[in-house]
Amino acid sequence: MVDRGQAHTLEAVVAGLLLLSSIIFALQMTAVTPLSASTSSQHIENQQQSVARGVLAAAAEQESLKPTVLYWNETVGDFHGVTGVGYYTNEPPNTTFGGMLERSFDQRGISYNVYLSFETPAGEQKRKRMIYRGVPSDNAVVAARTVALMDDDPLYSAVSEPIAGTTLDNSSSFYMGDTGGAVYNVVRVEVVTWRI
Amino acid sequence: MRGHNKRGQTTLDFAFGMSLFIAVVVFIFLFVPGILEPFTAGAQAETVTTNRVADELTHGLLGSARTPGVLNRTCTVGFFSAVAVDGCAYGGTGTVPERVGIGSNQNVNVTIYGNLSASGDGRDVLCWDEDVDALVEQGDSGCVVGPTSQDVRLQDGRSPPQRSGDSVTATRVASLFREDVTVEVVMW
Repeated sequence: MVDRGQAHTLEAVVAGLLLLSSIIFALQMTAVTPLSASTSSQHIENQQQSVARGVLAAAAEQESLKPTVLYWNETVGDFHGVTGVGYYTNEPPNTTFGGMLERSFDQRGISYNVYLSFETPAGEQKRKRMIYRGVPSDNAVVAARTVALMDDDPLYSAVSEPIAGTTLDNSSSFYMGDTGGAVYNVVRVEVVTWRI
Repeated sequence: MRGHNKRGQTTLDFAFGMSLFIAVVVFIFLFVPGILEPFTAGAQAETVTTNRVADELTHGLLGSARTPGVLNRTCTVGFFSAVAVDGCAYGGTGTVPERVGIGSNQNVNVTIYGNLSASGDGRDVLCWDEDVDALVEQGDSGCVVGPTSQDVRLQDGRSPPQRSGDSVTATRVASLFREDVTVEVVMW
């Protein structure tokens, strides 16, 4: 027994184990998931951004963006149908724009937040949540469109009809302030979308 | 002396060890590209072209470049029935690749989807009903596409491959006849 050099080729076995363990180590270190950034996910982000831009353009053309911004319950001091938190969490608002968001994103497994960005009378930028479904992922994209509100624009009812006799100037609970002049305020509607 | 107890390494040991090692190396070379495959773009040219075609259609060819995302009803119906209409930007009455300006050897399919029913039963290919001047879904009884009818199904191009092969889809949302519709361009 003592005269033998080597019984088996152990080097090959050790080298094989070394290769396999380095692959396992590399796999454990990097979490490669379907949400990881890559060329193909870049393509999907581009599509989501284009779709969001198209939804905003279609809503503006059908004159639904402004009624959604003005979808405000004056007596409660909140958006119609919103209780407590101050923004929609599950269903989008019952306006044409809300229906478009539902058809374009909800039915395709895409999550979205809608923010309203505007300037306060004191000159500060403020961002109000309108639809909020949590913190967007790293791969979220944003599309935005600007809407100008006039002093004599009416508020809209729960069925998305203008309420006669109401104007932004006379509203006391509206979430924006008058920045002066005939233009009441300018609001940027931002749609942030991401895959879930 | 070549006694049985005095051997170093036999050929058999070597063959066994090396075959094991080579088997592991081959396994790793086959396995690693498989993990990364979903993250490499397959159809590079189509990815770029399909986006360009979708942008052109929604930002100009079917409407006006002044109002991107808003489609003109006359131009859209004219495009899908391959008729030249005055004031519309798409070229000619040829095949779909000719009308959108890509090479004739590339396969493209353009479809407009929509969900017009209030019940929310999912989207369907849209159809222009000439008799009542309205958009309907293709399963609607008003949508009769044929030689005796002026109705136009808003879909053109060959059918995308169903079983295998890479295809790239570009999706845009636009406003058509005061409805929000989805324009899908598939290339392969």
